[in-house]
Amino acid sequence: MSRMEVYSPEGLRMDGRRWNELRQFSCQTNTHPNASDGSSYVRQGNTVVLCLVKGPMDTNRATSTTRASADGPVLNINVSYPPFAGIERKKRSKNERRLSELSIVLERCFLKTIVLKNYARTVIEVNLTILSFDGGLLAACCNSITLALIDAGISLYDYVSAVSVGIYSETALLDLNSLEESDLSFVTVGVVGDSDKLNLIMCEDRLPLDKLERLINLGIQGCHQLRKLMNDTVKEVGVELLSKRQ
Amino acid sequence: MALSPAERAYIYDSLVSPQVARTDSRKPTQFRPLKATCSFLPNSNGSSRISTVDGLECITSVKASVLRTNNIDELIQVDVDIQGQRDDSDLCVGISSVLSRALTSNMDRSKLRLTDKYSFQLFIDVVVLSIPVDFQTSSYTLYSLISLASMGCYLALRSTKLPLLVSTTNDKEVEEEPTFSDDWESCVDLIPNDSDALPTLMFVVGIVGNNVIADPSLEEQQVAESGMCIGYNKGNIAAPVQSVSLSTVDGRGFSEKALLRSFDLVRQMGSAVTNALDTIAAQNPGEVEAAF
Repeated sequence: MSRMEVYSPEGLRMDGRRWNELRQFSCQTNTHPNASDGSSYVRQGNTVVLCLVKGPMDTNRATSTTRASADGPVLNINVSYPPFAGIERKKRSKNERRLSELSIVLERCFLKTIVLKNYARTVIEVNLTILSFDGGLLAACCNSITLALIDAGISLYDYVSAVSVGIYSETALLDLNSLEESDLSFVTVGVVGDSDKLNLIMCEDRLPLDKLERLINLGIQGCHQLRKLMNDTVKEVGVELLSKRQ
Repeated sequence: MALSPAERAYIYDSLVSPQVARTDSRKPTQFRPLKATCSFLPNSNGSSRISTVDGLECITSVKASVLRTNNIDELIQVDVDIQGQRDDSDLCVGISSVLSRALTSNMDRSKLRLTDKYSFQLFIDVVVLSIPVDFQTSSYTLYSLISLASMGCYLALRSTKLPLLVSTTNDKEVEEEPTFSDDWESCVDLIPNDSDALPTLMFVVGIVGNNVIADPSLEEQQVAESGMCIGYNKGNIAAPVQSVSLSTVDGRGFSEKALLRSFDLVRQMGSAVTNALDTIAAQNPGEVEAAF
């Protein structure tokens, strides 16, 4: 084989997965109990994201000056992409357009998921740190925020789980790594709970419109699998907490 | 937490008395518990994570790349990023300049040299994950992070592994790009266990009157008259040594006696801290999950 095949005729991808298989997923909550109100760690393949949530708190305690809103919380999402996250070291400026776009997308998504009326005139600060990057950035960030918000005890309507889906000629591929991401057009979808309701959808490439439905269907299936994995972890933590209380 | 004048006076008086009474009833030489792991980042040559009970946490990565240069000064680059602080803030610049002086002063550069023209360049990136929420409203300056970040760098450098060079080291006649062994099992440690050139560790101590306290907590930093940032290397005080202000209010100079005492304190702490960090570096979990 002269070059890497994205999808072999036998139906295997570069890393040996089938079209509808997720990468190894692992997550933890409450990883930084002293530093934040809620924290989580999410690993999807070789993408590792840490999320620290502070809040809900008074607006004058927030690091950046924010004006309180009477309708709900102000959600500040900062994405930090340290220079060592990729394979090649590359320093990024703090206000890079792609990162601020990412935080705006996430902010919009979570303002639809947090029970707004409980948190009027407060600030919730979310700090994401990407420790290692191998594709599916938005998806991993979204999953880690969900877990960290749950850990912080902030009321949500349901989980938001996200995954990226790409298209290779006629086949839809689930949960792309960075090599696949650089070759294929892909879309990231985020689903609320185990419904079919999409809370997040982002596509930065060109996609044939007639294939979009197939992609989204596969994405929803992947999101439901991820939701189950996250829910299992949260339940385990909950059982452990309850056993300590007695 | 911002302290009231009464609280400040109480903490100051108990620290300045001959029998030092610290807010958390520690001995003057005692550290608070630290948690550390190393080599957990898959994309770095060496990495470490170290955190304190105040919620300060440093993640350090060491990445190596091959550079064609004769300039030995640019081989080690230190970069500090503190969450919520601009890259050109006093704190970031101050910490990275102290760290780069500490790490470049006692580094065995022959380990980095590949051939006559090519060398490894080491990028040491320190990320401080979160700082206390009351940093803006309180009087501490967080220069005590130097101590934590320096321990993180030490641990990351101790766990750094470089690929084995298979091409010749002499390229005076034929210009040849260095080639490396494909087998990661045969990698070499940047700092072997029997090496003499260990990175310099920096310690920040608080000075209150004639008393010197190790690892000042955030409350103690607010009342400290001054702070010293002292390097330690293999049983001795090493460069750089400089005074840092731990608090933005009530700063004062310090006596000669306090300076000598702080040197003694660092000598005393240094060996214990080095041993502890070396034990962690030897364990080498090598898995991301193990670090969290």
